[in-house]
Amino acid sequence: MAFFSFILIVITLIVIFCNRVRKVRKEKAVAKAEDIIFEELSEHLLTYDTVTDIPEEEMNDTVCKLNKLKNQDKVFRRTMVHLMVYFQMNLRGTVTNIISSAYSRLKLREFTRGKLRSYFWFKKTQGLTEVQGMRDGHSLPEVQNLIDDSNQDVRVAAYNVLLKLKANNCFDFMVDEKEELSEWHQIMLEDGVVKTPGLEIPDFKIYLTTECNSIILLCIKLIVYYRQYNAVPKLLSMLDHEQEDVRTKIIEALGSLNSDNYEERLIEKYPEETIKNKSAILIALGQMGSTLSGDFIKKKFLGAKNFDILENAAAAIISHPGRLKDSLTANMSELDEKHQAILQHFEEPLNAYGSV
Amino acid sequence: MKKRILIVDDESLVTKYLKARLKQENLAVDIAVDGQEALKKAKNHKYDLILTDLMIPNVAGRELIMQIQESMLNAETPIIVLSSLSSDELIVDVLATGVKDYIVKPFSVNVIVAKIKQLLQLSLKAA
Repeated sequence: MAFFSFILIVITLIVIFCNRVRKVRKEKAVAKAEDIIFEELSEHLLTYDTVTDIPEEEMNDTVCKLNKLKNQDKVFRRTMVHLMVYFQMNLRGTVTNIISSAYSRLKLREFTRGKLRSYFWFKKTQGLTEVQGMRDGHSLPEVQNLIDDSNQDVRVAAYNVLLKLKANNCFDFMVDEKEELSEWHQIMLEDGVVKTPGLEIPDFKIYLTTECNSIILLCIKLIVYYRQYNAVPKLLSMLDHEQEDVRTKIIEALGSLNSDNYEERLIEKYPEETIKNKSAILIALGQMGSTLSGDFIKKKFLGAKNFDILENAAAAIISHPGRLKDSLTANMSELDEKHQAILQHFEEPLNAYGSV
Repeated sequence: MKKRILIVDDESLVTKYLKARLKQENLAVDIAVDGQEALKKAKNHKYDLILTDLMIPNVAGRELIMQIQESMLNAETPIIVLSSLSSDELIVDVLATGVKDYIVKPFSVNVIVAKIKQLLQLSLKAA
């Protein structure tokens, strides 16, 4: 038994050692390839301001050299794509046209498209990242094929590329996606929408009818970001949504949009809601800041039996733009110690936004 | 004598490329990959311009700017900030520290080179 254990340990150590040696060798090979390719690019192509400034002969010679390297081994090919995508993502202006042109002439697009057709999901997402990084509109048909992929990571990456490349149907996923998106996917797509300059922004309320709750949550975030006030009636009509998370987001959105015309509806909804949503309603009413909401918040603050309610009512009082805080703090001595302490706590700027 | 520039950024490819482009303009370029290295270099050399990222290892970008502005050799050296952080408040805040310009990444190399040349000419005139 001891002998077998010894053999097993020795084999494990050998495997670890071999993997480390392989990793170091690979890193060295990548670094060497990076240096060679960088030198070729920076000395012969990226020194010019525009593509048209590059003498045809120099362009051909450089592409020829890079082509040889590309065909030499896969480390060069991968590093070449990595470098070009990197430059395309980190630089702006006419230099990016030079990179696009070299990428095209080196037929690296075909290499990326090969990844999009791969059997493995991670290869597909890698290919999609490259298409996105290179802003390669020519590969859109291949990207479109991936929006029906069985893997959600691939689908979301494809949606993101369509957004970044401003494809005509880039918002169709809000109707077509049936599987719930993770928080991370939502962040990726939100980022894809808000950080794509010149993207034509639709009326997100039209997508609120989907059965996919995570898409509804994403739409609500985008409605708030783009201040789409015309979505408020639709949001109000969804205050009875069966999912607590969706209702929370709607309440928060109404507060952020400062929709004070609808605060009666929120006050009406208050008794039916969970503690979490009651807290969210108080914060939202605090943001709206009318006299009606002020009286309501004050009542809840003074009569709170639950600490969450007390805490969020205090936060709402402090954030209330009216005279609610002043009217309470003027009579501070009439408040008990607990109420005084929690109001003082939320007067600290770092605590002012409450716990919701 | 060649004008000397210090680039502080931990993104090696961008700095390498910037260095290559600035060398073409007949400028001498030093690179520091973190705040400590930058402070060490700024302590030993007088630079004509410093180009720095805000998110760098070891010393925060704004701390670095303050320390350079208080240093003996480079107190008057113009500083350009190069960062991917693009909120208005931050840019206004950083410009208020006395830096000459704030460029948001991704950036155009041609624009940076033009700005550097302009600043170097201005400081030459001022001298």
